[in-house]
Amino acid sequence: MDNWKAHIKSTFEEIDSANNVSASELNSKWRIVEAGIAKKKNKILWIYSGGIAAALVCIILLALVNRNNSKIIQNIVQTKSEQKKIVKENQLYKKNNSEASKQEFLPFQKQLIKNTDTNTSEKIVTINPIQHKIDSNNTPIVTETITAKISTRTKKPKRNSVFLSNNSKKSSENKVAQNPKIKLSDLIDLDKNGRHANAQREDRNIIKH
Amino acid sequence: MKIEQHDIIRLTQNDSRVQKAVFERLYPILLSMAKRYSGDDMMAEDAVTTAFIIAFKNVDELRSTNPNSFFAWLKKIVINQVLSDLRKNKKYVELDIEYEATGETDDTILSQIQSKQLLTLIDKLPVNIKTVFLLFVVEDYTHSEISAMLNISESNSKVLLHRAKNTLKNWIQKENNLTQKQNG
Repeated sequence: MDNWKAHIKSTFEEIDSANNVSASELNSKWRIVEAGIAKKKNKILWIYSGGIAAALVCIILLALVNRNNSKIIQNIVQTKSEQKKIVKENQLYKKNNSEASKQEFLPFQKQLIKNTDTNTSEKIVTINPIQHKIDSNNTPIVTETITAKISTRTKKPKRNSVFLSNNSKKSSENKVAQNPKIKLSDLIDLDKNGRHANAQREDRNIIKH
Repeated sequence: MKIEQHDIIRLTQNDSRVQKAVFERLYPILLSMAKRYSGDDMMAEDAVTTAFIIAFKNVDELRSTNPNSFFAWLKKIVINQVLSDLRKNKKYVELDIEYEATGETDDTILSQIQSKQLLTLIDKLPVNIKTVFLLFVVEDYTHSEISAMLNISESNSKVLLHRAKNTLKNWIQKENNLTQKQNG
């Protein structure tokens, strides 16, 4: 190393090591450093706790999904077995149509739950096969309900046929009297002779007799 | 060195007592060094405290438990912090460096400089010239390392060092002439 370089370096090192800082200044600066280090620790804690919380939520969600799936499967199995049971019991009911068997098996109770789709005629109907089957201890055995989708035909409303009674004829005549622009023939089914259809029918009956 | 190897080991274990002890021992030295680079007391204080926070946070990354290497690492963090603060405050201005012959010169006059004189003259130097001079002379960095730190070419680093030496020599010469006249 060059002399001048070594000289300058040693001079600076002496200056640096001779530098004094008061205890209060050191303390205040240390507090800043300590706070800076604690910030990092807090950040790490937050990251860890956040990760743990996220993992817990995932585990809970997975458990819920699994539970629901197992329930659905269980329900499907149960409903199938119930359906089989019901079919068998129906057959039994038909066979043993005696009074004793009537007491043992009661007909299904039908209950309308809700109409899911108003546009179609399909309705969800719960067939409640609460079969008051009595076991050996004379206590009723209640089976679970099953839900089935059945289609029901809604009756079309009949067209309003024009049938005028004597009263209605009178009311029509009154309407004509109130409003002279309306003709009576517009309101009542009259023949060319101006007679009402009922009167014609009566005439025809008289002729037959 | 005022710190021992077992201190470094305990620092890696985030022992707050050792952290405080190391801080109290090294803060004055690093503050003096930072003041030299920045020329601003407040900036130097901020840079040193930030450097300590960075060092204590990342002390796990230190492979060696040698106190000298720890101190050198800490000094480097302080210098980098000061330089980044200088850049932020736009105090570090890049100079248009023209080619200068950087051959061997007579530097004997520099070896006669005294500590007080050295400090005052170093403070007078422009920031980028002073930085290269201090990094090369005091911290023993090579020109390639300095060029990487300051984002300049190696030849520019050499030119800046040459300029720093010449400026210092001229100032010392003038001061010596003045004192001779006053005495004579």
